[in-house]
Amino acid sequence: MNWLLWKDYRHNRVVVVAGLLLLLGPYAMVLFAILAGFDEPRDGWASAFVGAAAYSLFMSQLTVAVVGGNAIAGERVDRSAEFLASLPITREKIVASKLLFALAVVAAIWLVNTGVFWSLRATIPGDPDFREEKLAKIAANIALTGLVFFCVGWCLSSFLTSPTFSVAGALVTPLLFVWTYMLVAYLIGERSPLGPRMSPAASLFDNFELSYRIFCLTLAPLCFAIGTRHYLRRVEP
Amino acid sequence: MTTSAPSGPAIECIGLTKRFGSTLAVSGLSLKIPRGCTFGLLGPNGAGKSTTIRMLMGMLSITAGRAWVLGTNVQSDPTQVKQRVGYVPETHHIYRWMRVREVIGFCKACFRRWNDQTCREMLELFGLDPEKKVKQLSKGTLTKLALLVAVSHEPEVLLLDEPLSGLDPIAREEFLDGVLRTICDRGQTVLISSHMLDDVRRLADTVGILYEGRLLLEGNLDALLGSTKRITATLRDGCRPKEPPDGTVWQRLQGREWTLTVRDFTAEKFQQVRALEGVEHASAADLGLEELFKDIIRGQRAGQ
Amino acid sequence: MQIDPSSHVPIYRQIADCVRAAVAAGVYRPGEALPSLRAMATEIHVNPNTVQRAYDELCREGLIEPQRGRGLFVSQHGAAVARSAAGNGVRRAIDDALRAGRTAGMSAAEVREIFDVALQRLAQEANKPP
Repeated sequence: MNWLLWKDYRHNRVVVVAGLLLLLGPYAMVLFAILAGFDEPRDGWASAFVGAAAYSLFMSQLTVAVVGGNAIAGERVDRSAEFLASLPITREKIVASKLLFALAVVAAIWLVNTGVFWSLRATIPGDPDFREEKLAKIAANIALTGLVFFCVGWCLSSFLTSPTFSVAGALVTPLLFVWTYMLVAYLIGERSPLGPRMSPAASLFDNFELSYRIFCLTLAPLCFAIGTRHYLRRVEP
Repeated sequence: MTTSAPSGPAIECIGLTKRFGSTLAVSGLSLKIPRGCTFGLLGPNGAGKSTTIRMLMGMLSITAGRAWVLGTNVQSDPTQVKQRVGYVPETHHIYRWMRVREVIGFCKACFRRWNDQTCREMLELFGLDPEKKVKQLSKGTLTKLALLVAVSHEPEVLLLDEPLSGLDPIAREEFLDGVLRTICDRGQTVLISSHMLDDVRRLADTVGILYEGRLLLEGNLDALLGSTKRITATLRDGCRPKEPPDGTVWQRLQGREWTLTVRDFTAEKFQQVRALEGVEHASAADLGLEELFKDIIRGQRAGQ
Repeated sequence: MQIDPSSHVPIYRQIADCVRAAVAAGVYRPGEALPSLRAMATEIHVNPNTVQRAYDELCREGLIEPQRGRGLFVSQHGAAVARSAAGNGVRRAIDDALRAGRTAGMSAAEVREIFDVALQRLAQEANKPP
């Protein structure tokens, strides 16, 4: 329903504006440097834009976390969820609209930045054979982090009335994983979990990156499913 | 898809119960409101009126018991209930950034039926400015907007939860005007919970009194007022009042004056009081709704 | 037309009394239409079912009569009916006053004195012999 989507956009307009600033800010800064006559960097302005794209993509994951954490709880804190609950709109429609809005935000972030990356990929320093593979790996990790941000934020948002706690919880989750990983690795005898392993019992923690990806790919859908199911089934708005 | 028999009750609940933790907000409420009736739900603060209405609207989970609105079970198909019911809550939580015309547009898109002419008429009647934002509206204006939305989709039932609280006398009159017009034009069933007993007296033909989650009594308003009387008896010095007659809901002794409120009043009960030892003199008088309400509540409190 | 919702008199009876008084005073004359159900309900802010009940009672009394498709009209002998009904009202009021006097412990002579004084005062106001 169009009105529902419009409502979700308007209700989250502040988030959209802040997200746009995070998305386009780094580019604006490079543009400003060019227009203000700064010296061209060693690898050229194109590489500056690529750097801006990296910053933009990285920081925009914050937007994703906020969109997830604010999704349901944001309407509880001002109690507008109660007004929505008095209207004959099914929970399924409400969820679909929120997800569509979130998808639009995520799509904008990724399309803009990967667009810049792809069109300027020739200027990225390093061995051209491994360049794209390396980029793809980094992009995958950022994407998975963003996925966890959104899904954990969404799940917390479904249960809590505070969007702040939901967003905070989402942002803290990858950190929690890292700390737990380091703690476990320390306890089973690894001195440097991110480096070469020293004890045979650490095979599972051999590869931090692999563990992190498995963590993301299991936690995110689980949180999303739990959060959605809970919201669809509960009677209270 | 449930279909409601046109002759079935508008609202029906059996053993409706709501528990918040260890508190029992509504306990075993059983009610049947026929179509076309205007039902006044009375009760002191915290009696469970809002809780009951929210359960009927499918906005609050039901702990035990069942409820049907227009034949549809509220727990199995709340969306269907909301399509056919107009709801005006006590506190309004409409999106504060929306303009009046945006609220109307948003609500119109949700309902299957929408009467543009009714909407326009009410806009004019209430003097609402379509361009004003909800956050700029006073409580009275917000309530009128809520009523406009509630009525414009041609509901068969209106649930009004303390709609008049906090309204100035003029806004109250305008609101009542709006409600009456829709009752006259469409013959809807109305359930109104209110503290304003005068307004309930005007609007309702049936009342129910809720106290601590329980329904104390329910029935036709005029019949209730007609069959309940207050007996004032003067006692002789040093005499204590004896057994009051059946159906006494409240009694008080002040000096030599013994006052009792008796339901299902009959001439026999009156004679019974007069014939009691120590009673010098007795008279019976009719009660207004406010006195009846207060006496029943006081009686409940004293009985604890 | 004023309705007192806090009074113990049922609202439909208050409405009926008001209409009777209006007919007796000539506000509504025989052959004239009464306000429609909707008009009356929205004007005095009362449930239309209650207004209907009042109108039904007045129909039974013969004060008003329905004319097919055109609403309710004051009947030709309506004024007479209204006056006799008003008489009933006066009888009830005097009855209540006498009971009140008896409860206050007044004697019949005291009550009669008050009654005579009141009648005299009314006569002076209207400038007519009692």
